[in-house]
Amino acid sequence: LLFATGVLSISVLLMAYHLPPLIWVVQLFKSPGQFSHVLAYIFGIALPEELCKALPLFVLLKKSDPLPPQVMLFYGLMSGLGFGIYEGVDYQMERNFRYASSGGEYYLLNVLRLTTLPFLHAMWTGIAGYFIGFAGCIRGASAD
Amino acid sequence: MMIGIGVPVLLHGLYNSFNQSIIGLGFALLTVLVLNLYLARSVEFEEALNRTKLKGHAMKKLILVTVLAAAVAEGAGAADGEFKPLFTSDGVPQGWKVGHMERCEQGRANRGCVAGDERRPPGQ
Repeated sequence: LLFATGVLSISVLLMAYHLPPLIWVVQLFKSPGQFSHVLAYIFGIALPEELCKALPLFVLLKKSDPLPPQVMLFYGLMSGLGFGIYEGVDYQMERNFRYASSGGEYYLLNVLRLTTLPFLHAMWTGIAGYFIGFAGCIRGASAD
Repeated sequence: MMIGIGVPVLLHGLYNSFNQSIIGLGFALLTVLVLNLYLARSVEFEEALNRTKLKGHAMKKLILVTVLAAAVAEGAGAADGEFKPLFTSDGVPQGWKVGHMERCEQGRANRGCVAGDERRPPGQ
């Protein structure tokens, strides 16, 4: 699951950023208002990322019998963790070189990035996984 | 499903928006709080899920009984070639013959034959 999220979902995400709906939303970053930036962060960054992280969970929901919400929460945590680690390593290898002006700053940025964001991503996808599992159970109950 | 995607998207978006300031830390802590809240309330959520399941079973039984009753009513109507209600206006099931007490007594006296029928030969 970690591998699926890290490689497949991010590949899908990177491709999606070149397609019309996301290209238009990302244009909001160029506008000066703070509110448009918030909208761009929500619909241009958060929504596609969360959907990509939840993609393995949707596949799991389709392929198997409805799993309990707690199990889906666990899978969500793993999926988010995989995404966060992949993103963290990506920052470590590319962007942090540009952002940091010294070796110490580069080290600090890497530590901050790798010790906070993967767990936040895990929690966000965990919340999504809990409710996806819940929705699957309700659908399973009504289909019985 | 909408909540499942909507809540993390909102938290993620707000965290990204304010991660340059201390407010970002607030949203990160709120994420932890929300996840813990859902886990703490998972028992109530499961009870709600079980209630939905029970309601689904009761609804299925109701549908089954309704379909069976409709089938019996249809069968009773089809047997007579026309639709009839299951019970007559006197509350007697369709097809049952109702007579008077005197005719019943007469039937007994005539060895099970009511007036107008042929008399049964003895021994039958």
